Amino acid sequence: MSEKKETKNVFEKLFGGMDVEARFGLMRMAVAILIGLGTAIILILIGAKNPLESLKYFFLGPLQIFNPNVAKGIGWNYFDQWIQSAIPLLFTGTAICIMFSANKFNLGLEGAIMMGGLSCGWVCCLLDGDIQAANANPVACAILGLLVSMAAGALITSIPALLEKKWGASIMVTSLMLNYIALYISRYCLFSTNLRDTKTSKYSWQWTENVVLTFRKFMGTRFTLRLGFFIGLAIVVIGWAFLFKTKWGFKIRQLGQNPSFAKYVGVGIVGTGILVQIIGGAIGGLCGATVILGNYNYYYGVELTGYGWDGVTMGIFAGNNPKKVLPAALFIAYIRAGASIMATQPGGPINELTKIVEGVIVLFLLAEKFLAKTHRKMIVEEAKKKQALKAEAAKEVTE
Amino acid sequence: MENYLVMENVTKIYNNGIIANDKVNFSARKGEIHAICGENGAGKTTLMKMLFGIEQPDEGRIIIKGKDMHLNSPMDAIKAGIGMVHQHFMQVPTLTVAENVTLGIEPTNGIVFDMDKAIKMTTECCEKYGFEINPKAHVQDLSVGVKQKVEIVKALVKGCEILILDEPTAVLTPQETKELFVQLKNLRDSGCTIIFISHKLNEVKELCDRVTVIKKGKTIGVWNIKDVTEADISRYMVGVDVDLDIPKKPAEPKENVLVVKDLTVYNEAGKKKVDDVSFSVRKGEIVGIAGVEGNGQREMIDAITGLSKYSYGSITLMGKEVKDMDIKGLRTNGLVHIPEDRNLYGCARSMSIRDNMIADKITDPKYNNGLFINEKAIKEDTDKWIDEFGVLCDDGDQLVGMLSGGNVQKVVVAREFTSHSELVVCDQPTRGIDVGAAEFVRERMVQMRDQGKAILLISADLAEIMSLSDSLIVMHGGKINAFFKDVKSLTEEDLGFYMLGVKHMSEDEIRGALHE
Repeated sequence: MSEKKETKNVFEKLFGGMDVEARFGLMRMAVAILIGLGTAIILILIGAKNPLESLKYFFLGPLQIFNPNVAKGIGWNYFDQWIQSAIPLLFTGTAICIMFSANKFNLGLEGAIMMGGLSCGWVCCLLDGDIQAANANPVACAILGLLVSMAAGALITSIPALLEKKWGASIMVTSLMLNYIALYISRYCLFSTNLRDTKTSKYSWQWTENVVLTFRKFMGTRFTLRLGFFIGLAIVVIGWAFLFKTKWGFKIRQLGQNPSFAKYVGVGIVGTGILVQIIGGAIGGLCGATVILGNYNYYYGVELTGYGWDGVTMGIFAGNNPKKVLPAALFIAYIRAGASIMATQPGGPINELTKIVEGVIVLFLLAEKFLAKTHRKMIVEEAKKKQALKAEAAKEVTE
Repeated sequence: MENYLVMENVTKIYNNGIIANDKVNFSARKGEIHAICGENGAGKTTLMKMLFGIEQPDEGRIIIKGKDMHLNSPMDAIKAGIGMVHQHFMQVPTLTVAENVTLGIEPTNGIVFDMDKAIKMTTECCEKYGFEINPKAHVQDLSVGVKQKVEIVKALVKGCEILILDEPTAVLTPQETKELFVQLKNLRDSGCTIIFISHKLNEVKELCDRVTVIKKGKTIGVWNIKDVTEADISRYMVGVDVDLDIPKKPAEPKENVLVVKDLTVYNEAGKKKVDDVSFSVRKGEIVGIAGVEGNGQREMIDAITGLSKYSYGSITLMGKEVKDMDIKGLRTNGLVHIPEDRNLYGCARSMSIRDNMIADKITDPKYNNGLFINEKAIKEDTDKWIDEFGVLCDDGDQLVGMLSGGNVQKVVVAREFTSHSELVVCDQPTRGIDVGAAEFVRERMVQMRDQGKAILLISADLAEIMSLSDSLIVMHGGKINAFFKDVKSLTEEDLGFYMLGVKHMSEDEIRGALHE
């Protein structure tokens, strides 16, 4: 009995202070995730040759710091795989949070990532001779690559913004088209310019590992310190502070919540709208560069990365608040790593399984009327509770 | 007499947690005009929305002709013989009257819309109930009064036996109101039940047979109209007697703050909406603008407050031409503005009270250090304003969408009245808010005037505009039709004539509006 009371207290402590909406939001998220994971379990039970084994790898795989096979020189470090998958999500999630907060549905992030990776790769190729001749500092080269990539990313997402301002073209449509333009620019550079390594024909020239090593420090064979993860974390924190603690962020949110209101209180709505897209693109470019510098010593962009779309998923999970991007990114990265670990096991189902899980969760998060009855019930209960409290207070006063 | 319609213990809680109706009881008989009175926000409109199937009650029953009804949509309500005339007309302006009237029950000729039959249906209905409307006229060419008749015919043609009118006289002149009442009485005598929502008590007294008073979402009682006086109803509604007379000293106007000269505004469709208007507002006076809705006031105010651009003429604020200023510039030069539509322009409902109050001041160095906003200063000041302006809320972090209409308006007023100001534009400042809040806003306006601000007041509430204004401009057809230096001697009836364009003033008299 006393134990029961105790748990209720913990529950009250955790959720008592929240208002109905926050509590409902949390509950809705939990139910959506449970449904998503439930779907995964059912699919694994149906599809896998060895379901229990597969489930174990899916749910617990990423927690194994050490893959027994790594010692034999094959396979991945599982934990590292988790962290590695989370890195681009941190960037793209924050970028989408900022752009969508202003109601600017610019989907050019994918293109920004392409351009960021390409321009950073180009800088590395150009400076590679100097670095080898010790005329240039590899760290400076990496920083320059990041800066150039931000500019390139910002350029891509600002195009739809300017088109909208000038001719009223729909941002969503133009930004989607631009992704493909960015992709084919990247391909063109790889196949038809001197960026291309004539020997491999598919990739750019390889640059010295020195630049990469500034990004990825191996700590023995067991653990990899990824600088990209920390840059991503910094972007999340800066993005959150920018959006919620500065006057610019305040104006951005005003614009997103009610553009008429923003105009009426004197926010320059056109300029603010363009600004968010430039910022979003810059973060996208940075993401592209970080992925390249963190994993490769050559540029390889012949396909869209898909990270841009992940950003939209992140934005939906985080409700446009960068603060929630970190847990969202860790969650998505976790199930992705789990699925790919599971897929490497003999007889394991394909790792695209996570796409189904993600899709199902997003579906339920976006369905506005999902759990609407429970929502109503919570509101009605809360209102009655408040009314009763008021009546009681009034009674006390009269007494 | 049998009760034709009964609503029993009806409760409605909105998603923002506000209990709009708390076990409300209401009943109406066949062939009566039944008034529902209550302050704004008392829950009248919510009750009617449930009767018309727009909202569904959380508890309680709706019984029509002894049968339990579940009205899940307006379609259900129409089938049950209920018709509603909304505050804002639901009409397609580019279609003809006949087409609008038969919308939803279109007569067809095989598969094609049968215009002749539609006209016949409309004419028959009009003749039966004594409405004079040309079924071939386009709705956009009609006056507000006729549009309302179209709305009523629209309900009647669908065979409605219970007609709900939600503040039908709010947009009408006294003369149009009189005409409407004659027709409503005819309707009643032919067996129709009319539910009349209004807070104009003299109209209720004149028109209705019984009255139900609602206060704070609860039924206070039902009375035969001959048993109660206007003062009685007012007392039941508010609990105290309301005095519209605001104590104020005579104005002491000084130099011009706002000068509007030869202003002409075309709307997006290229129609001339404001036609060569000149006037000025001086420090320390309240200038009122009266007019039937749609006579150019909207476009003129949008031009003055920077919400839209104007075509010809000039507007100067504190001696500076505003044509190329953005709203930020206007605000820096001392414009503050209570907008007509507080939910569209006046606030961001999904942001907190604090955020809303500070919205226009965030660039002020007091509230940010160049990089980060100063949350402490914001909290201190907004807490002070919440207290000063009597905003009823849990705390400043509550979302504005959670507040009642009157409290939202207080947030808007608090933001605007605490900003740097020279010119205060109040556009329908008390529309749709409760009597207490309205009185508060009016008092603050007089206070601002006495502090030497120039105040431009636009209101559809004639009593309000006549009691607050020091001088009054009447607009008709995009022009200034009359200018009263002093409002005291003006009667409401006379004002109505000028608003309708029945009477005109001479050019010389109108020129008095511009002080040079």
